[in-house]
Amino acid sequence: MIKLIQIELIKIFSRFRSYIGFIAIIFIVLLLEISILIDGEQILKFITQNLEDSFYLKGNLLNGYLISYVILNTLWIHIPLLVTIVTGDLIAGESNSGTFRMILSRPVDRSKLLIAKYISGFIYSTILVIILGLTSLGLGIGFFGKGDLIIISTKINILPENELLWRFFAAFGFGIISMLVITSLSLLFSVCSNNSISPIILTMVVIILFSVITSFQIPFFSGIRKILFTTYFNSWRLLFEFSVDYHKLIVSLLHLIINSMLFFGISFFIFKKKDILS
Amino acid sequence: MDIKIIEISDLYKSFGVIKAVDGINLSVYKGDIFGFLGPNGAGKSTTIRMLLSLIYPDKGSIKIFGKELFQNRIEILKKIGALIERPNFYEYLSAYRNLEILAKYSKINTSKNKIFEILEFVGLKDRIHSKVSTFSQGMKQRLGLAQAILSDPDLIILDEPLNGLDPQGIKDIRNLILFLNKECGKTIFLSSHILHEIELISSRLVIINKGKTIIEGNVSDLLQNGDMRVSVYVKNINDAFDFIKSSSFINLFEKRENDILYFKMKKDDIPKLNRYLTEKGIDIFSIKSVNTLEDYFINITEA
Repeated sequence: MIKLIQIELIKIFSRFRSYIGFIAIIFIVLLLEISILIDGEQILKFITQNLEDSFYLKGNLLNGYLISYVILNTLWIHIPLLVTIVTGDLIAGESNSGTFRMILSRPVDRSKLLIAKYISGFIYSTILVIILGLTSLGLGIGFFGKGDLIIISTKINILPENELLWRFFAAFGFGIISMLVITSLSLLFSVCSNNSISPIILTMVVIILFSVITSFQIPFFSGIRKILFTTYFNSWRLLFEFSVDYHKLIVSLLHLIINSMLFFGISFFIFKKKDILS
Repeated sequence: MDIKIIEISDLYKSFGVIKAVDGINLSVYKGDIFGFLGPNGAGKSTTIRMLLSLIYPDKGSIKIFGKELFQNRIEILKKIGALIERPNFYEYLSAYRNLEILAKYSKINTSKNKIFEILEFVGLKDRIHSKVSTFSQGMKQRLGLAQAILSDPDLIILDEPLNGLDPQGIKDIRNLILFLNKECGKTIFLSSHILHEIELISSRLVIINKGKTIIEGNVSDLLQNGDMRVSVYVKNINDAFDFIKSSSFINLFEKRENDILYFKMKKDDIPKLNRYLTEKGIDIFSIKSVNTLEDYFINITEA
């Protein structure tokens, strides 16, 4: 199994398309941070102008942590696309190019091959999230320094600087599990498809559709909303509440893991029975 | 005693309403170069894919090396090398890297030198580290053959191995197949549209059509079966043709081309025709059987 994973990783990292995600993340984060560096103070003034009537705000508010938090909020829906470019191609790409004939006519166990591809895809998406984390935090702190984090939503959370690092690490850890769902879903579409584009499009369509259902608070969708993985996608924000609701966080994680296993289970069943016609 | 390497019995496979394979039976023996023929859509590729467990049959049995394929898949595939239709590789990797990866999939410990040797054997010595994306179709075909023999298999399944090759390439691959069979004792299962090649190198063959086995047997026996096409190359064709017209041989006459007369006749009629023309003072340069596998194939598949 280790050998199979090694082979899959060699294949992933020998292709240019695998680096598109890394380059895109570094470029976007850099672009956002530079733009905030130029216009950030004005934006911060605009955001905090109502608070300044009631509070006295002191210290470096426009710091690396705030920037990372903003970037996380902004990019969270885009990262799945970058993940899917690679994971959606894991099976469909081989079907499309005909290399599956070469592999599966060798003494390779289909189950082990699929698991190896799944693990490799997960490793890739994990690296992508780690790069997002390191880039946004590293560059953020480098450009803007450290400080407390003020989050204004329905309430104001002011998180002290010494508590922030573990919260960010946990948030990125949660992000890795979210990307596991994306890897599993794109693998499912990849198993069902013989071309590389369909799994990417279908995964994105599902994410958008589910996100719309999740965000529209219409009673009609209330039953289904609970089982959709997108409902739990934003639960990383719980980690930036003053007191973290761990129960809610664990339930969210369980939902994401169950969704992943369900998608992988269906992929596994289809792949075992699949005729290789390409 | 002949050892059966492949035994297919009553094999069926449908895709929706299309019956791709409709009860094929065949046997391949140890040491055969077995030709697998059929017109387009006859079910050849589906059968070959079932032989490699890429497609699951609806019904029937495939035994390879005496064991049921789908119950002993891994064990059997360890002893098979295959090239199916056009060879597809990881275009972004070199020839060497592709073979290294495929060797790992085959669970064989192949040294760098062994891979170099195989690439040299198929004539790709100078392109070992070139990306496959820079290869011509002929070079990919050679690399396809290299990956098929990588694990030193007992049975080699080749589906259209001559596609995209120039005449020299065809000759090289033909010699390679003969070498693998005669010198290395490999059993070869060969499907090709180039019937002349099958005729040149196969010992036995099967012809399938519409998913069914039409005929299976020894190549020379099949070609000698029934009427033969015979060409007679003479010095004076006009005189020769006049004598033919005034004899019963006119019933066997087919056509004339340049200095050659063509007949369709039984084997026993050949010496009679030879004697008749000689007695009439016609100089004969040659009398040849021009029965080809192509004629036989067209006759049998059209029938």
